[in-house]
Amino acid sequence: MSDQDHRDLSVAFEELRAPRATADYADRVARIKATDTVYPHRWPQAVATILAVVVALAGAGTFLALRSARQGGTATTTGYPAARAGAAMAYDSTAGVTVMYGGMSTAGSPLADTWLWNGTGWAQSYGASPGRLVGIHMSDDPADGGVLLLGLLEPQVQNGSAGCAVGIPSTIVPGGSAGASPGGSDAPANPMPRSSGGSPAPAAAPPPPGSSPVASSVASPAPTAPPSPGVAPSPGVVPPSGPPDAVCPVAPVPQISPVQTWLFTGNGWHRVGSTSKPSNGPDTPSLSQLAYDGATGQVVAVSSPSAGWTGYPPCGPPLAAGSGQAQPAIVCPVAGSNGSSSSAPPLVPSCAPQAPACGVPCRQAAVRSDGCPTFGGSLSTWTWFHGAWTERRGAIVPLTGASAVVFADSGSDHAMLVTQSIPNTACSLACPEPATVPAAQATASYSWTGTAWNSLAISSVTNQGGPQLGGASVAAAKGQALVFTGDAQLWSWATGQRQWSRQTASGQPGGRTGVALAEGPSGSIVLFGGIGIAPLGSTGAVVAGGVPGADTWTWKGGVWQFVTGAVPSAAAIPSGCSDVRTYGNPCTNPTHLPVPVPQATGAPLPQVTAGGPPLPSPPLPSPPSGA
Amino acid sequence: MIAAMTRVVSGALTPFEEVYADNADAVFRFCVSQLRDQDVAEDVASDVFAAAFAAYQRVHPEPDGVRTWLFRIARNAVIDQYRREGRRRSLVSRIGHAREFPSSVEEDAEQRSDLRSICGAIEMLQERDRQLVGLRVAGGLSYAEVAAVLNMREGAARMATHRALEHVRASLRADP
Repeated sequence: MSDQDHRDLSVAFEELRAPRATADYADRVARIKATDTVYPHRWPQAVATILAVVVALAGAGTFLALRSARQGGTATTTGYPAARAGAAMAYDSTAGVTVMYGGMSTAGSPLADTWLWNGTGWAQSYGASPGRLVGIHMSDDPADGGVLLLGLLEPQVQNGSAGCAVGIPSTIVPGGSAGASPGGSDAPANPMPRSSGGSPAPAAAPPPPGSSPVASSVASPAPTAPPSPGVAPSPGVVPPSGPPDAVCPVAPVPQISPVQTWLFTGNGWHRVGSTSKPSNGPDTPSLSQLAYDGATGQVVAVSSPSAGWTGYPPCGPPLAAGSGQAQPAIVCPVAGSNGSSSSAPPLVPSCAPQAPACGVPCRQAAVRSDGCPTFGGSLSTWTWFHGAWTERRGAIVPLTGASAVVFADSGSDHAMLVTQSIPNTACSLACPEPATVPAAQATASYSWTGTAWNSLAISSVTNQGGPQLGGASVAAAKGQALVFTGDAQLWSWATGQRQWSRQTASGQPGGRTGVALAEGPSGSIVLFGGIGIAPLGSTGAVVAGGVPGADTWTWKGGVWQFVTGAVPSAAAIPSGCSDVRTYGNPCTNPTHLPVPVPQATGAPLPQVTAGGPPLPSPPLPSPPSGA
Repeated sequence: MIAAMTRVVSGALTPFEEVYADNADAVFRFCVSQLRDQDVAEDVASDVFAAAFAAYQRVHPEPDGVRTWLFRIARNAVIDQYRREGRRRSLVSRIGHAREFPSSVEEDAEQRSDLRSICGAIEMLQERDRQLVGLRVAGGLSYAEVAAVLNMREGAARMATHRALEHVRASLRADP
């Protein structure tokens, strides 16, 4: 195995020379591009260049900091990203940089900026932007020469108007198909009300022709509020009988635009793909994780129609970047949903003080006839190839739990899917939910074949432990995939051994979710921001509602290196809360009122109606002053 | 002056013409090894350098990383070409054979024959092995560079390439 072991074969290639036509072509392209480079057409680039010249002529030593160099058609400026959580990030292997887009700001609003990480520093990229997208996921897409972004426009949520309805969960008739898309029974369900076109529709507008039936849990107006003309019961959904659950006091009905697909190349962002359904792509963007499959040149998207947030939470922590699964939730002991006292801990989403007073966002999970949310169902798979999404209906993967991650496995060059289930004892769809939730287990791994998921046998060692995928972020580089979990554990996936290994290192980032994690240049992994979560006890339970961070970390050679930036902080546990859910646990019941303090048996329940007062929020700690 | 300033603030960047001159043959050979058809390889190599030029200033690759970066693009371009291969083959079958290894010059015949045989043996490999051999044998990359292009560890690249080369030699022995 010497370095000369190929010489006998190499000789045959030595006489080959690149044909002149190749050089001519390259020269021709070079001339065209050079012309474009010398005379930029975008005013920010021109202004930035002039600024650089002026400062240089003035002899200011700071002019280098103001430089603005064209980078393949898009102006960039060195700087540093603001704090955020839930940003989309992916390595652009064509350009050799890591691209980060959007996320939720400290104020809880979506960001629309794009940043490039070159391994040592950040530079902001200007030019066309997708706008304020939410539910975002990104993947390297070398077949198209950039990175692919999936997301949807920030939904418009209006409190006390037709845009909001009292969120009484509807009841799904067993065997019904709430939210099934027109594409067929195995098409991803579309539990979101949708508007046509790319901009938010008027709040009271009826669903456009061809749009999917609306979701169950937000579809049916409660008796205590006027029906929303913007929503209609789905087939298979019946209104609840009897007194409604006093739940989700003012469940917003966000007007959600169709999923958008964008491509970032050297010339900025470009909207790609058809703008009309169903070819627009996966339906549930908050769960549509993306990964590039190098063997086929496809970008593979996996979405789950039946679990997790299906819309944009108007308050509370942003969507987790890695999994799109349930947000960490503070759970307090309260009365049951039917008005009787119960020890069942309901879900109390943590709302930032500055969030709209539109009430508590509800998980729009499908709800069974007994009021329990349903879990399971199937993951649907879509592939992006030659500018269009294709649903792979033969690639259905049962999802018995709630969590799944998709990543490009460089060991096999295929996209990998890992699903995770909750043990039956933990998620038996019982109401009330169990007070404690055992840790989830990694139970199934699949490799993408181009048309289907090939189930991989996982070693027994793997099933003894593995990352908690709920709220985790995943990135792959240099022959390994790394998962950063909400409780700050780092796990690596080895394709050859088909097992997870816990990576331990001192000085690692603290517990957080909504982390932007991706491959960086030179085979490193880069981590940015996320929102702080506090570990509680020894079970890995966490409390959410912290402040997003702006810290950059790199992982290389088994070592974390803190670069710079303010770290995220976690929220304090509100008084009266004695229990928390395991992070990412899907067994959160949206059908209970949040009450912060345990009440004695028979104590009256507070009644919250549409337009009612804001719910109590956990205290928000002061932003960190720095790392 | 603005152009001069831009060059200054952009830092030293090897002129793309030099990058092309240094790597064109190697990239073309790699493409031939992967695609077998010189016409197609020529087109793909052109695409590689066009894409590389478009991203060159933005990526600003380090001088010692240019080669790896170029071959990453080439690898992706080859994968993309494979996706189009089905359609191309269908077309070729209708209009005649494409030029693979023309041997119009007598003295080149033997070498062309070797090249054809080797490419045929490479074509029979799994995709990853094909790339390993192509990068190593045709592209002339070091194992460290091969590993960087394929996102794997150098030791693994070395071992996998060795095994793939054994397969190639076995194929050549079986079908000389």
